[in-house]
Parts: sequence; structure tokens; C-alpha cells
Amino acid sequence: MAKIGADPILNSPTAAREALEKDLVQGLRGRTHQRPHPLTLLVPIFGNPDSESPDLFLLRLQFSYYPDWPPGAQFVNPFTRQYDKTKDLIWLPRIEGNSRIQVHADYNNSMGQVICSSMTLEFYKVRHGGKESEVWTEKHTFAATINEIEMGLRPNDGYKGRMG
Amino acid sequence: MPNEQESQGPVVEVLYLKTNEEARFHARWSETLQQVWDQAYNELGEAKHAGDTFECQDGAKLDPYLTLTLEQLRERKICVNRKFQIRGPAGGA
Repeated sequence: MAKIGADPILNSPTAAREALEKDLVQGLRGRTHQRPHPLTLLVPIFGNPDSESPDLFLLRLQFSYYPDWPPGAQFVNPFTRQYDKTKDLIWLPRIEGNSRIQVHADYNNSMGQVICSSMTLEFYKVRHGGKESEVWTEKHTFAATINEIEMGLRPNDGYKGRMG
Repeated sequence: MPNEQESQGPVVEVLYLKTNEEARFHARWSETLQQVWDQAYNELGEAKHAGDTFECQDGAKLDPYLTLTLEQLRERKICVNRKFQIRGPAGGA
């Protein structure tokens, strides 16, 4: 299982896919999504969702390490479905003052985009420190990843609009 | 007195954000929010973990109101739809 300071361990594609299939319906809870690859989901998500004009973002979840580790999570350009740190800042949300989540366009100026939350795989890959009580457990499904990111996109939780 | 299925008490809904499991059950107007939260774990078949918090599904924090009854919450117009969520700890700033 996930652990602070440990390298994430890749799951077998078959086992990862089975775990995703098991959690898929409840994890999405009726959300619009696309599945361009058996282990990848694209999920639209909105900043400032209760406003008259919410900000659309596209979240890409990747499940190669799932379920012992959380899904990889990145915001991507909805037109290219990729993230280019030189051009796609507008497709990243800016979150300030939230101790649960931050979005880095290029973590440590070399590691690319990181949605810094213990509910994402990248949090562990970059060896981010943290409390054991906040770690991903066998009780979590990818619903926790989407929910945690979505809740960071509300004005009361530090959402400040688009990064670029 | 509120006009909602008086014989069985008000319906509350609780979403468990770690998994999206949902519980929907009747409570009593005289029950405190803390009691509803505790009952939600039973309904969900989950255990309470350190750092869990109880919120309204609109994201409003309910920590200051855990000792209030559902009737008092209704009167104060706090989470009036009684749709709650349990959020686990996370970190990453």
C-alpha cells in the first residue's frame, strides 16, 4: 500500500484494469467521462462550480499503479489532451492557501505538472513529505482523487481562477 | 414542526468521499449532528478514522454545529437539505 517515502509499485495491467472496472460506476457517480485507453479516464471538472460561468478543466487519471496507489492525475489541455508546460498554463487551476492540495505547473522546475495531494500518485513519486494519517489506503478508491481535486476548485478552498 | 414524513423522521443523506458510497436513512429531529454522523458510519459499514470531518455537501464545514439537533439546524438554515458528506484527511500543500 501507499507509503510516504516509498517508491510506487506498478501493478499488472490486468489487475489494475480489474480494480478500475470494480470501482468505475461508483467512482464516477454519473460523471461525464471518456476512456481513451483501458487504464485512462478523462473527466471534466469545474472551477468555481456555482458561478454563472464555471471554469472548465479536464482531468486525466491514469491507473497503472491502482489500487494500491492512487491514480496519476494531471490537468490537460482539452483540445490536445496533453499538457505542455510552455503553453497550457491556462488549463491549470490556481489554488492558494489550501493545505490539502496545490497545483504545480512544473514541480521543482524540472518534474512537470504535479497535483500535490496525497490522493494522487505524483505526490508519492516526487517523495513529498506528509502525515501517515493522510496517506492513500486500501479504503480509498479513485473517487477520493476526483473529490479531493474538485473540492480544491471552490473559492472558499483557495481557488483563484486559471493559472495562466 | 417540519412537514416531512413525520412518522419516520427526516431523511438524511451521507456521501462517503473516499469511495462515493452513499447512505440514506431516517433520523430524528431531536438527534444531534454528531449522532447523525456516528449513525452514518453504521449505515455505510465504515469505521471512523482520525481526521475524518463531517460537512454539508455544498462544502460548508459543520464542526461548529455538531452539538445542534437537526431541528436546530433547520431553524438556523444550516445544510437545510440534510445532504452531508464525510471527508477523510489529505495533505499536499
